[in-house]
Amino acid sequence: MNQRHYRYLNIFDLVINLVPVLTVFLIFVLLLFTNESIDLNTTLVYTILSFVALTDGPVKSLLGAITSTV
Amino acid sequence: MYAGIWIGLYLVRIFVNAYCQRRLTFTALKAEQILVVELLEKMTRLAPSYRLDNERSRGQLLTILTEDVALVTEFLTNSSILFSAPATLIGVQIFLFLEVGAYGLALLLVLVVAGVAQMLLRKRILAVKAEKHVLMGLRTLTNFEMFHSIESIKLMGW
Repeated sequence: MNQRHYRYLNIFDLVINLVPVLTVFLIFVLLLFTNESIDLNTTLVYTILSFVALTDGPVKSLLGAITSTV
Repeated sequence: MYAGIWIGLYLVRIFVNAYCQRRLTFTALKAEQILVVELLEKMTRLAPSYRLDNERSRGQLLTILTEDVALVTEFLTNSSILFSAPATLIGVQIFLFLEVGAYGLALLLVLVVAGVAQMLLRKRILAVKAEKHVLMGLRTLTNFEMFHSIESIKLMGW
């Protein structure tokens, strides 16, 4: 029972932590596959990384806040 | 220039976030204090006969209502997240759209998938928690019965 509980909790954390990684991965893969002439320069990569990193906090806290208030 | 604006806005965001959190926490604490005082006043005014008509004792009723007050406090404390988190997500989505065009919508897709997964997991976690709670109750009851039986055996022995 406890194992199941902790497994679900760990998967829950994993989903949260995967959001920025998956988003960045998807964007770069789509950019590379659909636009061959694209130049993935440092500025573009870091800009996307900084934007996507902003989602980490809200994704972590939003569902908890909704479920605790509803 | 762009980096300067970015850093400036980022600092403003941190400040506004912290300030809102502080104000909301104070408001929540005030609301909690007022509700608890009002609740105690009402409870002390309840007629003793009320307990006879009700399944619960006054103490049990007070515990339940205090838990409700705690939920109200939690709601007020979390209110800032309910506004700031969606605002941040929408802001990031707009930034990404401006930066990489339609590919930025990948964020929306990932967020929807993660949200659904989180909802499902939350349901399962709550189900397991409820199951654990029932088992804990049973274990407490068994322990109590066992200790009581041991006590009875000891008394019989004496």
